Amino acid sequence: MAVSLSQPEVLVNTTELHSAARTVPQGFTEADVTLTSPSGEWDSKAGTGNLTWGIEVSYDGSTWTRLIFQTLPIGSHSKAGGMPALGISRNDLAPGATASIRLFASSTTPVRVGALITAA
Amino acid sequence: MALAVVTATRIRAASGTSVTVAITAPTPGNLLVVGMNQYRATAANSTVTDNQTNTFTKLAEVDTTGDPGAAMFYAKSILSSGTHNVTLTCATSGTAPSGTAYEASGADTTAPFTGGEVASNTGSSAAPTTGSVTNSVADSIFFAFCGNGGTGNPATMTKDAAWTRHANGAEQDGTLYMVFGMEYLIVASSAARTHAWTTQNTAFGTVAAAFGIAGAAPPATIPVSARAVLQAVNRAAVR
Repeated sequence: MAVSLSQPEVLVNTTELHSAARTVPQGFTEADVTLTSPSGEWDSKAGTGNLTWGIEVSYDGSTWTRLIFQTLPIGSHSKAGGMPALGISRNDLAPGATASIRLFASSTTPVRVGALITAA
Repeated sequence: MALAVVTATRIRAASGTSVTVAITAPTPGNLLVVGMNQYRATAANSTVTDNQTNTFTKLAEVDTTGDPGAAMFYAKSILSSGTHNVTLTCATSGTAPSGTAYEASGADTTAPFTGGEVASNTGSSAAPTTGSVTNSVADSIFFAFCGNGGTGNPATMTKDAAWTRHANGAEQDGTLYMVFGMEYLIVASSAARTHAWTTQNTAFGTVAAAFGIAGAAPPATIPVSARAVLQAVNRAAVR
């Protein structure tokens, strides 16, 4: 079951940004979170700094815990040459809980990126 | 307490040299065993750490300049409180860390891995195998990990039928992540065991290891005094 949680391209800098939160639906099993770069800054600013990004989860709507995250050089690509991605599974969340998830990102150098979460 | 797998958490990053995951909250005192795959590592210096001051000991690592670099780590009698983050960090030149963190109960809390009960292998075959591992403690749990250079989704990673794979014990989306399979086998006798997979990509690295149950009797030894008596008896018999 899909969790629609796209993040429009935004300028990411030292202040941590978050997407709108979405409730995790019943039947959710696993998903991929992929960075996007419609304006191409991910490549044009390659090597200029680092991006820290990932997924946060909350069970009360106010306290957020990082579920999966990483810091990587701006311009990094996957082994197939694609944009960076992270994988999350239902088992990573507390089973049966009413959970909400959101994206977060910050960077050492301003860069415009987005992100998209899709059911695997 | 019998040996058992409690849960497992899958860890996947398509890029970068490290990734941190909040694993399913483990029970303090249990055993964590982490299998890790990575892309094109050139040095056997990958690490696993956590935010709980546990020490993860590397059992073996097989890095290649080809696609996969496999490694296995364990932390005994773990501490765990609050959010338990586990971080996989690739070896030199390696990227895209992936793997599974298994939590097992019932393992010895002081010396679950007594040494020598590990084997690694690397090569090019569509039927990757581990080396042979013989458990010194009869009641043991084996873990076997295969890092593969598979592509496509799903990439083939078929396990040996005798071994058990947790739902989070494999990654088969080779279009995004490094492919792997990690299984376990609980046994009640000492014997040499191996694990074989079937894959579509031939580049592989494997690690297998055995961990003993808590409270197992140490291997039988003859006290020095008894040994001296036996030697005296034998000498007398020869005369």
